Amino acid sequence: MKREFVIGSESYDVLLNKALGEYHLDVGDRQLAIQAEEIGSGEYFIYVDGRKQRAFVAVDDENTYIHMEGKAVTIQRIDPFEKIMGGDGADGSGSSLLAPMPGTVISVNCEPGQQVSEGDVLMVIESMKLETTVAAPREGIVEQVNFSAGDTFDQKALLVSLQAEEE
Amino acid sequence: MRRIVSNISTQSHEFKENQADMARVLNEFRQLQQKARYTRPERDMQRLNKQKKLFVRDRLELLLDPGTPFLEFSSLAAHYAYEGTVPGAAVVTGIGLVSGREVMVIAGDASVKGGAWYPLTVKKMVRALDIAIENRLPVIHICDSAGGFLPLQSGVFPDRFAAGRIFRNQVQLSKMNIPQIAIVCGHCTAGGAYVPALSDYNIIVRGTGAIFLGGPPLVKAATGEVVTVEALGGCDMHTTTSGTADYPADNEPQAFAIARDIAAQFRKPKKQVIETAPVEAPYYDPEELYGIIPMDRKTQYDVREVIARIVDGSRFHEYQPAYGKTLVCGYAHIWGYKVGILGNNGVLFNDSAKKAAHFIQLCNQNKTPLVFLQNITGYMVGRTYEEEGITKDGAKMLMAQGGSVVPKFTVIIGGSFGAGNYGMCGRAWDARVLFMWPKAEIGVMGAEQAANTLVDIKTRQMQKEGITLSEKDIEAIRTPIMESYERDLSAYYSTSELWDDGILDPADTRNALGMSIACSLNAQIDDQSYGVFRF
Repeated sequence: MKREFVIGSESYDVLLNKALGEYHLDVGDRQLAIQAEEIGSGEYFIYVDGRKQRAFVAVDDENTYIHMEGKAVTIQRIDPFEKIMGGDGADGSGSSLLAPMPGTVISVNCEPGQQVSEGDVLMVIESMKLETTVAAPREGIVEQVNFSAGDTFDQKALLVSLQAEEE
Repeated sequence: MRRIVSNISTQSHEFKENQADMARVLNEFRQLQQKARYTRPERDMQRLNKQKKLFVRDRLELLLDPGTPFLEFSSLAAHYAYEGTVPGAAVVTGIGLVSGREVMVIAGDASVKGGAWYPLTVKKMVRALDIAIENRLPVIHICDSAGGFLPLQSGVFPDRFAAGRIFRNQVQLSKMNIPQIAIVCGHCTAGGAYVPALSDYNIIVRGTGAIFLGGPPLVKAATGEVVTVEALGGCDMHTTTSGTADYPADNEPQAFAIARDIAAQFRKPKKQVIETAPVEAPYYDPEELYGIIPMDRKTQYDVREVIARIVDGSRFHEYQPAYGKTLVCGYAHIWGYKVGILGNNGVLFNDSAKKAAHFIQLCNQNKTPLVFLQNITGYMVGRTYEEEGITKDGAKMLMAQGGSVVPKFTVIIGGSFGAGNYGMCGRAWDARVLFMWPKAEIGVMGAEQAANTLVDIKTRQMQKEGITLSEKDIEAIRTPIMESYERDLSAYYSTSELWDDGILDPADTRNALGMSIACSLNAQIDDQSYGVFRF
């Protein structure tokens, strides 16, 4: 996975290579010989294709800040793994909320036709001595509520459904 | 490893309510702990003073490397026992640093009944020695005990894990080439005399320290011989004549200085090498746990929110994220140490139990210590699940968990009920340490379930005789059950009985685990081996 850096709104694929003890930076089709020499805390001489420049560098969790030739540049570092994986891995697209196990309805907190947001509690159920909230996986409109408080249900029973998303 | 994305709003009403409730609970916990550690009747402290003896907490100060952490175990042991008159079970145990070495400290507390050994005192000492054996920790004994508490001798003396086990464990440590130091600050009488005698090095304080099988009154009764404490078993007799004690000390500060110098001679053990990464603080503040843990233990919440507030950088590599979702499994680092974490997100089903067995085997193969975060009401019950083999799948999980060779660490963060306790490495399953959060509960079943079950049985019994129970009759059955169950299920009762190694402020979990993992690596991890899995 190539590392990606963003300066301003432009994104750069950059690869740092080491060959025969020297570093090369591949930027697009260009290959630059590169070398950095630390001369103080956060202060460097940077050699790009033999040209020497003085730079001040600071690093935080997401960005690298460089002050060089009278200009300040913020480079945002994008973790390619993070970018590929996207989101938090949660399945936020479903419309049918099925019972994870048999149990009893404690309370119903929504009604058909109601507009709900992601994370809103639609129903509270109890099973195996545990209370679980059935929350909206996404924003939408409640279509069906199939049980009332006190009702029992089987595993995979459809508890609540949301109206299908419009394309 | 990716950072867990928290779905908690710290501004929500629910968060603030939980936080306020936890503040109340923690305030109570800290007060109880402070009291058990420091509050003693005036006359007991005066007696110590008159005997020129230091309070146990001051002795720890003298012994431990200044400014280093001390992982104290079971500070509220015996909280509910002996009418609450034996704070901390009259002994302080914990892991600390002495001259840069990780050591187990076992310090008798003579401010409580002259340091007499109650049944729970012995249980706490034996547990500390077991921890020392499992983790290959040198032991420093601070001896100051009147001997077994005679009115309760039957609970102190005869059984397999009673007082004899203290000395048996000392012998085991010696066989394993794990050094022990005893500092004799008070009397070591009868069995207690063997604590310094079985230690590799011991120091005795002139004037207050004494070691003998029978004290002057017992000698007089037995043989008629009249002898003083100093002549019978004092500092000079033992260090010049009998050779039972090694180093004389003029006073306690000198005794502890000698002990520190002896510890400085210990070889530093080679630790088991496991995967590590540079240490990173959790991205999410561990104190946010206060607002995450629900007020009602029955309320389900996402254990990933807990993991995010314990592990380095809140980073977690989740294993099988879409399968067996009621058990969250994955890799993370705690204080740089790679661990495999299993945390409950609901009842254990067939798939979650099989996932656990698989993940535990992976961790054993790649020598990754295991951390169990217990919040479990049990394995799923019912015909469908039995037909799918829930019992044998649970057995697979037990076979993998119980057969593990990697160190295991358990924190009971919520409920610990029924067989779920077994699968998730409860007390019987040799976790190197087991801690509880203050709102955690442990038992065969919850208070409400027990009350309902018993009411149900009684109602049917009476129906047979043609009697219908009134609301009032039912309440009369329910209330006492609810009350006794609520106490017996509580973390305070568990810790009082030493079913755990102490109650933790949730925000301290990361540090307690980090220190425990570091200590566990003093023992090498064996090659994996298992019993027979039922497929």
